[in-house]
Amino acid sequence: MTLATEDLSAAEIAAAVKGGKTSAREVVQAALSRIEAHNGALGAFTDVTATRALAKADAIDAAGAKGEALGPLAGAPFAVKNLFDIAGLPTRAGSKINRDLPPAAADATLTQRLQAAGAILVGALNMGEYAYDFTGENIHDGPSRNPHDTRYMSGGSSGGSGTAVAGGLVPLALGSDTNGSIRVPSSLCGIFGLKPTYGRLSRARSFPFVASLDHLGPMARSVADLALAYDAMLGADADDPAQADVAPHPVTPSLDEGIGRLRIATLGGYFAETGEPAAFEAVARIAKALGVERTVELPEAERARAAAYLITMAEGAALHLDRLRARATDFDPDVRDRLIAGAMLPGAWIVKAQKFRSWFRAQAAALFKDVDVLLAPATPCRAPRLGQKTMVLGEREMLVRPNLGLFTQPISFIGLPVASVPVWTGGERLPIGVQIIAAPWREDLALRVARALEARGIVSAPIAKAA
Amino acid sequence: MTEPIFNADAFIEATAPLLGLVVGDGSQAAVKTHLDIAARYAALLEGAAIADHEEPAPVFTP
Repeated sequence: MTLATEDLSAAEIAAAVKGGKTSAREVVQAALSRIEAHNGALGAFTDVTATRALAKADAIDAAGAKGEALGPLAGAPFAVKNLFDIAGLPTRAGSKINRDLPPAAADATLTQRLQAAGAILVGALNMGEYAYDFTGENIHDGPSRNPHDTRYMSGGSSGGSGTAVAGGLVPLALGSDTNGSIRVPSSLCGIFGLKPTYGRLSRARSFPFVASLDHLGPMARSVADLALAYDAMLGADADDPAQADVAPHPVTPSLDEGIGRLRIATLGGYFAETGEPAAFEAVARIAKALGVERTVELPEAERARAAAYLITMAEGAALHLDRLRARATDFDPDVRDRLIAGAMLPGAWIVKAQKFRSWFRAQAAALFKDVDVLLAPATPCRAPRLGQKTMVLGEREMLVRPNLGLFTQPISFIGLPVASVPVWTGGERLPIGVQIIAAPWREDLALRVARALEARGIVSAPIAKAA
Repeated sequence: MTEPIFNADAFIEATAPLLGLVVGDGSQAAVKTHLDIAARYAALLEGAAIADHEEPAPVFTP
């Protein structure tokens, strides 16, 4: 009898493959069948790499048959946001323009490392154009839809990653997060996401957006899968000159240590305003489960968000200036017009923003002398409707596209590691996420807290059955 | 001291040719909206007391 692998985590699949309960080929074929059946309704995948996936699966099965040791993710299917290079494909980064690029010569470093751990790449995932997006909508490929209700946004810009994981197409995906693009779709799609510390994981052979703020990381339906994937991707990479010179610190060994005597506090002020009640109820539920009564302030978070916003506009525009001149009509107008505005910003604004970033980092460092983990909403609301342009938060009407990330942006601004955990409140069909934030390089603490919550059933990522 | 005045339409008209960008009729309103947001954020940031000696975050190491 064929093992039903749809509901299994990557770790469970690896155990089943290693234990001979299924084969990597069966697992991959099942994933390809799910993609075939559901992708039309979900819009998660833009490319399916079936031939190479089956070849890799056969290689793993052959290695297992010979008694060779298999990696911790053996046979687990995964997919990557289409800004990660995949050998043989142009790296479209959600755009029309990049489809004219020559095919990538090699996979992105993080893809290579997951495959070295036995995971099997099955395709590339939809995303907001050039990652300048929090909605998951894409004018060229159509939207990645929220699998819990396909009338709603997946969130972005790693929208296809959220859709594919929450929809049960794959147990594991990679995304990028410049201002919240892992955490926003994780929140709206109801899955776990990890944005590591800035500089921790290699960005080699991924298409950039904002060099000062770009991060890459995993998205999954279990914390253990986040940890396994993260550990597999750790390590120095000579191909990424921006990577920090910090020793790798695997997180799986300490994942089940519980919260112990960790000092945990809820972020107040900015992080307790300008959101729908659901966002704050989710944080309160997590805080109560953890026995957290303390609230602390991260000063000037609104200014931090403003500074991140300006740096993003300017650096994103500088990256795309030639394309804005030569191929303006080939952009998504919503992206193009933000980039054009960004190209015009005075230099003094950007330098002030970068100086403020240093100041704000110092404030966070001072706060982390007295606390280990911070809690904050991931998004100010549950998923908006597809096509929705504005929303009302705190009695103010504002644009959806830039403001779904208003709680994530100040945190990634200074590169703090964050695990986003999915919360289901009040019998709602749509989830909402909470950020578990740690000091730089302490991904282990954020994931320990996430795992403790998961173990107690406070947070969970059930597969959506809407499609 | 002269208080900064931000007129997005005039700014677009002056800056677009310098950058070699064309802001079409269909884009003018959206670009103006984004510049107005940016100017509001810049004004907010302007109010932050940052010391002259504060280093910008990306510090170059030769």
